[in-house]
Amino acid sequence: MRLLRTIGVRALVGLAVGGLVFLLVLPVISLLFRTPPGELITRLGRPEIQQALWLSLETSLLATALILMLGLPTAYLLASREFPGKRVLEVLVQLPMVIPPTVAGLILLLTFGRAGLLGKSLGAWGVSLPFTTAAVVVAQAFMATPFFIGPARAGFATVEHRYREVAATLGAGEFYSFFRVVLPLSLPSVLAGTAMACARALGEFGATITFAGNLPGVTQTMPLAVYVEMQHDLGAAITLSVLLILLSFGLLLALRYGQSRVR
Amino acid sequence: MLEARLAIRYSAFALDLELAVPPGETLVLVGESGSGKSTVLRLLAGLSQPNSGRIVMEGTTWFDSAQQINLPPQERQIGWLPQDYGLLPHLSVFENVAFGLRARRLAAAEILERCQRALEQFGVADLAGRRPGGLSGGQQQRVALARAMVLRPRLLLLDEPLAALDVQTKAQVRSDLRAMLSSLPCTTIFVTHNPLEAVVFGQRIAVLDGGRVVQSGTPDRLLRQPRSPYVAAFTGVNLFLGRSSVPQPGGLSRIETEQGPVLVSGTEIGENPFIAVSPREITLYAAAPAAGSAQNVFRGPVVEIVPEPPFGERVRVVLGTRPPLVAEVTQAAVDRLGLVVGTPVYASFKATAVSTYS
Repeated sequence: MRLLRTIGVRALVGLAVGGLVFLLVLPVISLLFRTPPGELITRLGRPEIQQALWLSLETSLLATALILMLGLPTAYLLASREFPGKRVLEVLVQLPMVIPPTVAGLILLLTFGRAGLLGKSLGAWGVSLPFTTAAVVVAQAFMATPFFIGPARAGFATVEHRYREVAATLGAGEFYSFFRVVLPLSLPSVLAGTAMACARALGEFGATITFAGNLPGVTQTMPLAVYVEMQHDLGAAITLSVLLILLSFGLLLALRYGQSRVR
Repeated sequence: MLEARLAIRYSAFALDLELAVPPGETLVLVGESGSGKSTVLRLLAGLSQPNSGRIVMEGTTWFDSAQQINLPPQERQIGWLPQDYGLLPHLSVFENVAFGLRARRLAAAEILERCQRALEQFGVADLAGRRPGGLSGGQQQRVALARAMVLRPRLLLLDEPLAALDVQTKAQVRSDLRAMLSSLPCTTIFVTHNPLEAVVFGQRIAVLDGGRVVQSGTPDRLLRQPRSPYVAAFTGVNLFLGRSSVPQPGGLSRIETEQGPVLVSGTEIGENPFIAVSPREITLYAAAPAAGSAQNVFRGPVVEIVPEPPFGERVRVVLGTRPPLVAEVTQAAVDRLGLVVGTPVYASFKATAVSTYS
């Protein structure tokens, strides 16, 4: 009876995992079957694909830098302090995860657009954000920040309070203690958050096309190029898709190895 | 000179005490867990804030609730060793020791020189490149001391420095630590739950109970005239708190305690005296003793028999008399009287064997 149950449970788990892998891997394989690899490589040389690739890399790296600058202090604040309105801030930084990206793009447009709340004053300085490469970075950062804050905050929270106290008694101020004690001790989580956010920024579509538009060489990142190419050159769309998948896969795999190194 | 008056109140705990430690001396705070010892260290270090009070170290005010002064820990010039030493696990021994100097942005050459000297002083120079994770408890303690002392603190705070050690190494580390501390010129506060450690390390001892100092003085006073059941239990003395005393013929006094009367010698008894009887002064009888020279005779069952030391020649017999007594007798006496738990016995001691103090 017991043996049967064990076998039954194993079969169920095997089926579930197998099904999931099937669901994830099959589309990738079908993508590769659709076009021979040689053709993919020749398409890589095409200028519009190159353009999209470099723009995507540039914007997602800049977005990641922006996320780190804004996200590190926020995540640390959420992990280490109690203050009024903390719950509201928590939900606020999570919000981009659940709202539709097009809505996010619209919000950004309403904020930074010509008639927008911030756009007006920016316009007075001669700065206009929408439909620029900078807008791509902002859209990506907006959408990807929660993917950083979550793991980073969890990592900060696991650093024993005592280590910060010891640092303080040894004369370290909050800033020094953060970079010498808290950050090194939570590095695996912070790296995980960074990689997740970077991958999310790389794949950003909805907010980008709404807020930054679809201008080749300026705001047309890889996901946008996939969408455009699908309509006249499926091969190019596939090339870009394979590239995107490989980049994300490589990024997350590097993260896994990096984490086991740090630990 | 460290002078502190500290008061803090949590929901179920209140602490209210005053401390004074002359420069360079070691004060040991001893008490049960929950008595507030570690809290005192945290308040002195600035890691927690008292509701009210004042901390003045050699003329510098670290905290004053009246003047709203509260220096953060990093400005107090303290060395704090938490119970498991708190070495930073991601830094080498050298970098742990250098941590405070780097935070002060000293020149690299000075950092190197001071760290090397501290590592040598505490005998851990050969561990400089190691991570703390692989070190023994005694080694970790030395590194933590080097890390604290390299900053030349004005006050060293040690929280149960021997509690994290295993039994085999404890004796060696204790004598090493004692030697190291006696060579340091730094004012030190040492917290322990073990009164015997207190006696070994302290020039002065303060006994803490429920957030208050119930006794303070020299180790010798603590041993001879305990004023708390906690310390009395450790030193093994029978201790009672007297309420009223009535002079008796023959230069004696009868003191009422909560658990029954005790006859003591002397007629000049102060208010609420402490009454201490050494367990060795107590004699056990199987039957009521004939009128002898001992004035105090109590009857009660044997509650517990504890060899002291374990498997030793002598035995501590805990009695359910009123007042409750502990007698220390030989194993031979236990055998002769046929004592087992539940045996009714008579216990007696002389009035002159009792010491009373207020």
